[in-house]
Amino acid sequence: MISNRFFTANLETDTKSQLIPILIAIVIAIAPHIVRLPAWILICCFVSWGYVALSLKYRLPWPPKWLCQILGIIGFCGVLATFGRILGREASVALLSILLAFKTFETITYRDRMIIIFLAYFLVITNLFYFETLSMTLYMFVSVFITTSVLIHINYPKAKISANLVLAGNIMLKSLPLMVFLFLLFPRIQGSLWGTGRHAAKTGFSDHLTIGDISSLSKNDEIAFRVEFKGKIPKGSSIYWRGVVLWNFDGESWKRGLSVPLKENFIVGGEDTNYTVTLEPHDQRFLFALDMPISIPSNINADFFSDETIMARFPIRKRLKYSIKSITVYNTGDMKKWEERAIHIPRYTNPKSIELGKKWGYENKDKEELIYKALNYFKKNEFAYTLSPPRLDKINVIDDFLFRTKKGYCEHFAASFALLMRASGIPSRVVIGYQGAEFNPIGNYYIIRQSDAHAWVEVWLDKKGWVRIEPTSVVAPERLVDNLDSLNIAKRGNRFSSFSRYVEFGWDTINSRWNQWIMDYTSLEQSRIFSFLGIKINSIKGILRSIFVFISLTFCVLLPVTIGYLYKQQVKIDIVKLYYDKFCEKLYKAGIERLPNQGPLDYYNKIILLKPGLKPKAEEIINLYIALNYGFNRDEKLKYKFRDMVKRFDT
Amino acid sequence: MKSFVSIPYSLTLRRIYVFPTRYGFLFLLVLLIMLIGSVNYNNNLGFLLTFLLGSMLFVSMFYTYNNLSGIKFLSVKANPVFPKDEAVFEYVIYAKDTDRLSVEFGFSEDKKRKWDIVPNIENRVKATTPANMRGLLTPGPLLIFTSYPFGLFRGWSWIQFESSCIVYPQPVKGAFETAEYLDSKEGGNREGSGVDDFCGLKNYQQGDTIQHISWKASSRGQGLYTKVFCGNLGTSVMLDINRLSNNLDMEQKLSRLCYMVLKAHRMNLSYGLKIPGVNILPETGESHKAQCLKALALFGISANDIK
Repeated sequence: MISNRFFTANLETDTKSQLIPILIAIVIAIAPHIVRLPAWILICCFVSWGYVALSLKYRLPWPPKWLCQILGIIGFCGVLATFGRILGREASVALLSILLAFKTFETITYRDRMIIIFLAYFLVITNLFYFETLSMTLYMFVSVFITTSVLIHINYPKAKISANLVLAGNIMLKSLPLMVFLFLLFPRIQGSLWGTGRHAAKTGFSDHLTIGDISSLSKNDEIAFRVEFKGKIPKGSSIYWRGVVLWNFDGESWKRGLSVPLKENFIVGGEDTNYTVTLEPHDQRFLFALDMPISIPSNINADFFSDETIMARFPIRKRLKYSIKSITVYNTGDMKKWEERAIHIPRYTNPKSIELGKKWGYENKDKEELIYKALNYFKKNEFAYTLSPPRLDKINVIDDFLFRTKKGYCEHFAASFALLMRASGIPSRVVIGYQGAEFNPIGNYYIIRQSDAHAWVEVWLDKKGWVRIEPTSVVAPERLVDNLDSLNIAKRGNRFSSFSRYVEFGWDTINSRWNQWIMDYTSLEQSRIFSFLGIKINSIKGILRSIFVFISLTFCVLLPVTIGYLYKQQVKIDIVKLYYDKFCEKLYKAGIERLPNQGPLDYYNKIILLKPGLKPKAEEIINLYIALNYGFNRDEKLKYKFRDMVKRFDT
Repeated sequence: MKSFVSIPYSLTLRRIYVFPTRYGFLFLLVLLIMLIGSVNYNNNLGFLLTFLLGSMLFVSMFYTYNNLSGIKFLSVKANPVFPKDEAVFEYVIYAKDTDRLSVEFGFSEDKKRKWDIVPNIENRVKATTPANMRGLLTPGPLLIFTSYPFGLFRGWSWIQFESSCIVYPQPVKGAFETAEYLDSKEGGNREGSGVDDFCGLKNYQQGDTIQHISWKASSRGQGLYTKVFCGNLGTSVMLDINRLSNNLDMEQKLSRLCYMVLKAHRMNLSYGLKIPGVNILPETGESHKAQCLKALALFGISANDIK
């Protein structure tokens, strides 16, 4: 058995034409995983595929079956060792890849090839659990297209590659309407069957602020959320997206702290701003809103806290769209009892900073003057804004920053400024969120990126309530975008010409629409379609009813299409036979029966023998029948002529 | 059993069955797993891909059906064979407008062969079945099968055509027992003598045995000549079933006669055949041989079975 796994002339001709396309399909399917797969799996895959490809050219022997099986078992154990389990996304992708790596040595039979193609399809779908972008979708279509062409090739190796591609494309195009139908109406459920165990890998945002532990902040251009304003758009300088308020400083980091009470009465202020946020999943609970929000989204289970932050009850793991209302001019009113924690200073840490703050508080009775002086301190003492600040001493981070390095970004300035304020007797808190927005003129919405993440300070002043202070702007005024003109490239400048900006905006618009219409299509949107059909999905009964409607609709659509199609085919083929039968039936009624095996000419002789009067008409019909049925006359008109002749025929 | 159909015959909806292959079922299982995964993770792209593949499977069903639908059988013929040979049925097939690729024809699941049907011309497709017994071989229904394009659906049809193949008796070696043709002027039994004596050349006629062509003469550019052997000069023999030993049963006798017909033909004798109900006058040539063998093949077979 082993010997026939070595190259023979037969194997070569048969396998060569099929193996290369199979390899291409696999590589295309696996490509998006390359960055994520462990190196040893990638090496296994590419070594065995490379070997297979080379073996075709240089007639190298293939490993015997038992060796493949042993390698497979080793691979399986390797996956188990690497991931600690076999189920789960990463592990199953790794397992699939290992399987595909060694399975290529078993492509001799048709069965093996078919299974490899199915595995490739499987690999395509696993990609989709990592990326939910439009580009991934397009890639998926390409991958399915290639894999399908290879599937056709396996089943009919004689055809030209181009013919296979055309056929695969044709079938894909024809299946699009049905796909859309199923996508829209296949009953969706809320939640999951057995839990997703899924965590968004990236978070541009955390719920605390520790300066100095990362020595450099990478510039992440990923989109955090998109905003569409309804009506009036606020001034650029007041575009602050409030995320989390940090109340507690423990000497090292600023944290939210526990037990922030829920909001009872809403703040009063100026004009409303209405807008809709489409938040990318960040695996955290906070929802971002323009400073200051005065309502909470109605479509989400969320709480509105007294520090004007909004928290969903569950981590955001899917793209989320919510409408919200804010005011940009506000007064939060008197200090509440629980807010007195905003003056607390941790003991025994950062003594120099606390001393400096205390000194300011002693020297200045007017609080606004004190704040002005404090801001000036940053300006005068050669503080610098940088995205790669030096590391800081763990124990007294603020001291280290204020008196030694003097280099940092918004977090450094906000963290230390808030501490200085507390030391000087002014209640303060740190707010983290995003600042600014980029207008997309094509899609008419604003884009907020991870690189817009920002931290600022709020201090409490008599009669004004909580007031936003921006210590970073003193050092780096250009860090803060003042206007929302998209083509003002000061901030992200030197990267783009305005043309490529437009291309980028166009692409983002398409992505955003795609997200809105396809990716965010959920049971909620579906229930709207069903309610349009008069069905409400709000109970088990409703869900059952929707399933029933789906199945009946599927039948209502597919059955007529199928039957209609088959009938059309039937008519095409059979119009001649159909009317010949009618012709015979007419004669049968007149007493001239056609025997089961009687040919047309024989039958004709019988007709003229029994009823000579029918001769001219029968002759014409029989002749045409012979021409149509036995000849190659493909003239459709003649068929209809035949039909009409039979219709007119009368015994 | 399925009823016989007469030719010409078009494959239509009524006779075509379409069903998933085992790979089709496996693919459905893959789709089901994908669907469950998509439901669990609420992954819209997963749904999209699952439904795309499912729809493609559905559409491919029509391609499979289409690959068979409208295939038209214009004629079928089978040349006579000897027992233990394969009876080859040649079908003339016509299909309109589109290629019918990778269509398999055969009289059983494991003996089918693949053919590509080119549109708008006559295609010749062969299917074989072993010939076992003398007589008129009626093959079982013809299987027309395809799993084009994906191998996930199989489309098939079993059609019992009105067609048959003549199976000659199995030649059995034995003495060359002949009766002289009664009309012959010359008397005497010339059995076994003189058949190898070369007498001269005569002009080649269609039907003369190739072995007897004088290649020497033709190589001189004198045209085709057939060598004439003295033994058959002016002699006609009659192969008469009554001359054979009565110890033999009818089939054995027919087999012996078959052998003698072949031998007489090989020797370029003028021979006739006499069996109950059949009396063929002496003659030579291929068509005469065929006529004699056919008579032997169909002996005792009711006229109803012969079309």
